[in-house]
Amino acid sequence: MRVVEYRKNTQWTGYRALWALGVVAGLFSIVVCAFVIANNLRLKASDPIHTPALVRLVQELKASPQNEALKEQIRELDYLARRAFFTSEHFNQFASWLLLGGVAVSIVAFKALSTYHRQAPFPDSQEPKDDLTTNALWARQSVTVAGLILVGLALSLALPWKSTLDHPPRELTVASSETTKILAPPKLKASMPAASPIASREERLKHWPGFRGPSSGRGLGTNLPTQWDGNSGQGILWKKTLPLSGFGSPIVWGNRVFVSGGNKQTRVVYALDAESGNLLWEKTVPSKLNSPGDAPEVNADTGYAAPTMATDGARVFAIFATGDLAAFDFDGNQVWAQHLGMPVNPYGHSSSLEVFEDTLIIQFDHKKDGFVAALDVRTGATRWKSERKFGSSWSSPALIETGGHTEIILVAGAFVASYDPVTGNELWRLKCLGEAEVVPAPVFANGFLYVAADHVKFAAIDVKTRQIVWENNEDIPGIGTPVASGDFLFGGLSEGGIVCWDAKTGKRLWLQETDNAFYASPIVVGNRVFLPDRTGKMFIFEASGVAFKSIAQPSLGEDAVTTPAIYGESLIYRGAKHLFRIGK
Amino acid sequence: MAWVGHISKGAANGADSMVVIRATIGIIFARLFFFAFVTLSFLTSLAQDRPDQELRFPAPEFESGYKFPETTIPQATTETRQWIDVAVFAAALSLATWFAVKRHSRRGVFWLMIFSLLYFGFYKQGCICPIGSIQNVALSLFNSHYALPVTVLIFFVLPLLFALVFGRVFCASVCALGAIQDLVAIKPVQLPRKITIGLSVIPYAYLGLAVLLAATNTGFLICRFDPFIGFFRRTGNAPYLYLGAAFLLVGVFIARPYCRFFCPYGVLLGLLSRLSRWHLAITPTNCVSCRLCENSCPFDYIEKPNLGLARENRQTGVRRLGYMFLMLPVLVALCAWVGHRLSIPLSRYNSTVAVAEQFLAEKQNPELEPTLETKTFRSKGVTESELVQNALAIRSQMDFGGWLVGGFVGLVFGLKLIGFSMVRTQKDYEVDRTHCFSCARCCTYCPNDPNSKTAFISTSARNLQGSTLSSSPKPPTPAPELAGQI
Repeated sequence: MRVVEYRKNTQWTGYRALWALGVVAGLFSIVVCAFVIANNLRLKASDPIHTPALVRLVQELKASPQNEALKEQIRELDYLARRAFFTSEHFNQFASWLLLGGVAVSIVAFKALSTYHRQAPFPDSQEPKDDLTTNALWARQSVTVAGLILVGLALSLALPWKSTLDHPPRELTVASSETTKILAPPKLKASMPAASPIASREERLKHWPGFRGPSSGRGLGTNLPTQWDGNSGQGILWKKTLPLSGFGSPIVWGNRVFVSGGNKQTRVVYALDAESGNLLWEKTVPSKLNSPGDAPEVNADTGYAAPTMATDGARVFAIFATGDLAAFDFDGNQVWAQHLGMPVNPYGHSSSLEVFEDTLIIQFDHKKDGFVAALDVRTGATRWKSERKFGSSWSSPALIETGGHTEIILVAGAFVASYDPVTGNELWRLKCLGEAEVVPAPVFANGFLYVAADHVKFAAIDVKTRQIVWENNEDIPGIGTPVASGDFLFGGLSEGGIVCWDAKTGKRLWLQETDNAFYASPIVVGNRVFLPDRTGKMFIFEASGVAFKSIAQPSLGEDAVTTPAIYGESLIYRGAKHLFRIGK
Repeated sequence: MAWVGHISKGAANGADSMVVIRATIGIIFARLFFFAFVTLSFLTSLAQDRPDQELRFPAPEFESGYKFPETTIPQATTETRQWIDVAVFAAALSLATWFAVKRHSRRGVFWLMIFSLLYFGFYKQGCICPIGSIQNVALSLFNSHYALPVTVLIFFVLPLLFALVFGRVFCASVCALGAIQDLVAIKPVQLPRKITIGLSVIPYAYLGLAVLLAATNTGFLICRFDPFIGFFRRTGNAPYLYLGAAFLLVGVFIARPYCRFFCPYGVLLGLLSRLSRWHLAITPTNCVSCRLCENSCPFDYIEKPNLGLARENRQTGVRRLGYMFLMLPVLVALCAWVGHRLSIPLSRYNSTVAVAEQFLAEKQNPELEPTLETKTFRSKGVTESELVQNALAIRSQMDFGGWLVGGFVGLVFGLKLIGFSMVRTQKDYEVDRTHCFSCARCCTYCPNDPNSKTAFISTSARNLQGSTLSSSPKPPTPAPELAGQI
C-alpha cells in the first residue's frame, strides 16, 4: 500500500513551537539524567558512617570513653556526613521528578508532531504479492533459529556449570540423628573474647550474673539503702531512661549493668556504666523475622523482653519473645546470634537464661517443639539439646548442687524434671503440680526443692528421695519466685500479700496484707528481705518467721515488676520507665 | 492522524487550518493535564517526611540525647481496599470491553488506558497485577503453606475470563504496563515478521521459568524483572530503572515491546483469546477489502486475505506436516533435557541452595573466607545435614520442574512449526485473535463501522463495494470527529 503524500505546513508557528518544546524538554531530560546517574554513582560509593576520620575518632573514644570533647567532635562529624549523604539523596529524588517531567513534556510534544505528520492510508492498485509458501518457510526458519538460540544459551549456561552440591559429602546427605552435628561456628575475630577464661563459681558470687543473682536470691551487702524516693530523687544515685521497655531484671558484672528491652519491631541489649549510669552501648539483636508483623503476640504483662539476661563474665546473653538469642562481649561486639524458633505461648516467652560453667542453659518450653539446651558460650554451638513435651512454661531454670554434682531443674505443666548439665540427659521427673501455668522458678534450699504454680499448688520435694514433702493449696506465690532464708521461705502473692512459710513443713507462719500485688521476686541480704510490689514500693522487712517486721517501705515512684540487682552497697533497680541505682 | 495530513494539503484554507490548530492544542492540553496530574502527585508524596531514611544508619554509639525516630511500619492494605480494587478492576475490564468490542472506540480505549495507568500503575504502584499474580497462583498450587488471597485469584482469573469471551481487552486499556508503553509509541515501525515470529517464543520460556521459580519458592521472577515498576513506585534499583528506560526508548519505535515479546501473562491471554466468541473485529459487517486498515496496526496483528495466492503442492505440505508431527516428541524430549540441565544453575537463585553451595565450597576449601550468608546461616543453629538436605530437596524439585518446563517450551516450538506448516484460508482482513490487544486502532479505518465515525472514508469505501480490490479509490475525505484519536 502506498500513502498519499501531502505537503505539511512545517512553518506553522504551533508546529515550530512544539518541535522546540520537544527538543528543549528532551535535552533537559538528558542533562538531568546524567546528573542523576552521576549522583547515584557517588552515593553508592559513599559510606558516611565509616569515613576514615570518623572511624579514627570512634577508636580514640573507645580508649577514653569519658572524653566529652571527643564525643562532641564525633557528633559533629557524624552529623555532617549524614547530612551530606541525605542531601545528595534528596537531590536525586527531586531530580528524578524533573526528569519525569522533562520526558513527559517531550513525549507530548513529539507525539503531537507525530500526529500532525501522520498520513492517510490510500491503497493503490497493486495486488498483494505474498508468497504463502515462502512466508511459511521463513516463519519456520525464524522459529527454528529462535529455538536454537534459546537452547544454545541455556546449554552454554548449564553445561559448564559445576556445583558443590553435585557431590555432597555422604555424611551430610543422610538423615540426621539426635547427635546431629551443629554447624561449626564462624571463625571468631581475634578481638572477640573467645579465649576468655570462664569465671569460677567464687568469682560469680561477687557479681549479679543472672536472674535472682548468683545464689538463688541471696546477696551480699552490709549497708544496703533502705530509704529512697524515686520522685524526689532522694537516695537515687542515678536514673536512666531506657528507650525500650522490658520486664527482665538487670544483671551486673564488675561495673557494668546489662538489661534488655524490646517491642514488636526491635530488640535491644543495653550496657551501662554502673557508677555513672552512662549508656556504654546498645545493640540491636539480629532477628529472623521478615517483618515486625511476624513477631508473636504477647501479653502486655510479659512483653518482648521478659527474660532476664545472663553473663559468664566475658559475654552477656539475651533472649526474647521472638525466639532470638544473642551473645555480645562486654564491648558490645556481637559474638554470635541464633534464632531458636518461634515460641508458641499464650503470654510470651519469659524463661530467663542461666550459665553453667561454659554453657548457656536455655529453657524453651512451649506448646510445640519445646526443649532444654546447652550452648557453648563462646560460639553458640549446641552442646546438647533435649526435647521437652511438657507444654508451655514461664518459669526459669535453677541449677542445684546435690551430692557433689549439679542438676538443672525445670518446671513446666505438671512436671518437675532434672537434667544433667553436662550431657543433657534427663535424670528424673516428678509429676506434682497438676496441669498448671508455672511462672515461679524452682527454689532449692536445705535439701528441698520448692515449686509453685499459681492457683494450683506450692510444694516441697526432697531431692534425695524425690518425694513430695509437703504441699499447700493456699497462699501460693503465683508470679514471683520465693526466697529461702534459714528455715523460712518468703514470697509475695500475685493477688497481694506477703507470706512467710516454714520451709520444712510448708506451714504459713505469717501473712502481711498489702494493697498491691507482687510480680517481682524477693531477695535476701543479711537478715533483710527486699520485696517490691507492682507499684514500685519496696517492702523491706526482717527475715523472721515470727511476724512481719517492716524496716522501711520506700517507693520508686513508678511501677516495677523486676527484681533488683545488688551492686556493692547499692541496688540496681528497673522500673517501668527508668533504670535506677539506689544507694547512699 | 491520517486526516491531519490531508487537511494540511489545503493549508491555505483558513477554516481547515483552524480545525487543525484547535485539535492539536486540545491534544496538547489534555496530555499536559495528565502529566501535570502525575507530577503533582509525585511532588505531594515528596513533601512527606521520610523517616525511613533516618533509620538507615545506627545511632551514635554513646548517649547524646539522640532522639530515636519513630519506627514506621507500612500499613497493610485493608480488605475493603482490596475489594475496592477488585471492583475497579472488574469495572475497567467491562468498560474496556464495551469500548473495544461494542463501540469500537479508540478514544474510549485511550482514556480508559490513561485511567488504568494512573490507578493501577501510579496509585496502586503496579501491585497487584494479573501478570505477577501468575506466580502467586503457581506458588499456592505447589506450596500448601502459602494461602492465596481471594482478591489475587480474582485479579488472575478475571482477565482470562474476559479474554475467553471478548479477547484481550485487559491488554487494551486495563494493564498499566501496556498503557505506559502505548503512550510512548510515538513513531512505531513494523518489524519484519521474521523477527517478530522468532521473538514470539520468548514469552513461553519466560512463563515457564517464572512458574518454575515461583513453584519452588525460589523467587518471583516476573516481579523482580518488571521493567516499569520502578517508574510506578518512583524508586528502584538502578539496573531495573535502566531496563525500564530501555524498554520505553525502544517502545517509541517498536510499539509495546514488553507486551509482544516478553509478557508471560500474554501467553495465557492469547491462548484463551483465540477461542473468544465476541472478539473485536475490524469490521462489524462484511469486509470490503478496501485495505485501509492494512497498515493501521502498529503491532502487525492484522491478518491479510490470502485467497487466490499460490499455495504449496498439497503432497509436499502433507509430507512436511507428517515429519513435523514425528519430530514433535523428539523436540519435546530435547528441550526437556535442556530444561533439566538448566535447572542446576537456576536452582542457585534459591537462597538455601546458594548458601549450601557456598557452605560446601568453604568446607572443601578452608582458605575461603566465610561470606555474610554462610556466617548468618551458621548463627541460626541449623545443622550441616539439614542445610544440605534442604538444598538437595529444592534441587530435586527444580530438576523435576526443569524437565516439565523444558518439555513445555519444546512443545511450543513444535506446535509453532506445525502451525506454520498449515496455511489457513483467510478471506478478509481480520485481527490475529491470539495476539490482538483490542486497542481498536484498526476499527477507526473501517468504512463499514457505524460506531467508529469513520465517515470520512465511507463514501470512498462505498464506491469500492462491488468493485475489485485492484480498483483505485479516491483519497478519502477526513472527518474532524477523529481529532484526538492517536
